Amino acid sequence: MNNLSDKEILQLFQDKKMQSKAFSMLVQKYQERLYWQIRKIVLSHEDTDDILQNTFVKVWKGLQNFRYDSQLFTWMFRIATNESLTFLKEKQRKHLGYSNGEVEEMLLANLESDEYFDGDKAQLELQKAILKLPEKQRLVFNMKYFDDLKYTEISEILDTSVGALKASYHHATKKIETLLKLNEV
Amino acid sequence: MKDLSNKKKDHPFKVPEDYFENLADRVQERINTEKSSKENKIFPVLKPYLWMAASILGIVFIAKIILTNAIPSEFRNPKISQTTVSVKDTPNVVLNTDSANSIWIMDALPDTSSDEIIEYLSDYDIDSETLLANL
Repeated sequence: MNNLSDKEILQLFQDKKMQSKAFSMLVQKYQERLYWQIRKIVLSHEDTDDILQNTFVKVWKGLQNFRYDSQLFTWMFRIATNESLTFLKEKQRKHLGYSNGEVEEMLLANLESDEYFDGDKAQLELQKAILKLPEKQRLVFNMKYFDDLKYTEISEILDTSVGALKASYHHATKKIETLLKLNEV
Repeated sequence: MKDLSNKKKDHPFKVPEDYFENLADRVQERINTEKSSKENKIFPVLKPYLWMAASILGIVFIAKIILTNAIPSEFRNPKISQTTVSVKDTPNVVLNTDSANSIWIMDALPDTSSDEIIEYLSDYDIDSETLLANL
């Protein structure tokens, strides 16, 4: 059912009668990749589910005017990333007086009690270390380390030069290795 | 395990069973809900303007009825109400008048002399009673 290319799905979407079907195909094609992108930023499944649905609603609204200036996938990834970061900022605003570090500690506490977290001790320590990174480095690290995205793709999603991304990833890995050494994992 | 390259890169997360199976339906449902709530929001926004427009129309309608009844019947004489007056020697001036504004004929013919008007009246055999009745 879902072997159509992005371009074919978009063409189908232009036909009012086929719009819902085309959109459903698009959701099924990208739902997992977008889910994991969001999940790695906000960690909890419940929050991820909310943000993912918001992301797809925004994609629906923007799809009418989508032009192939960027790939459909990177455009959707960018929306998902922005939605996730907005969610974290909103969380910080709601808990006035919370610093960035405190919000991340709260995320970590949620993760430990999340029934959909299935990691061992080493994986939990890695998540703790990732949460200690600055926002940009965390995003780059997740996209490169877990998803193995190309720097050019990350560059389009985060609107940052490839050189700056390479430097961010390098710093991120060094920091994480240091933190893991400190915790003797 | 201190070197990242030795770590397994699997996600330590899991998702509820069948989560991805029905996500598309749930998203579609949410889009439909947003669409219908957006449509429902339009009427409350327009409601005061619709009331205002209806009130103005009502006032205009009532005013028209009152004014129509207040005008004396002689001003509503059907014989003169749609008379076309053309003045001799002033071929470009043709006036469609009704009874209410016929008294402004003199103002509308500033270049016509009294003699010309008298000549016109005698040519068309309009008697003084008719003229007085339509003043």
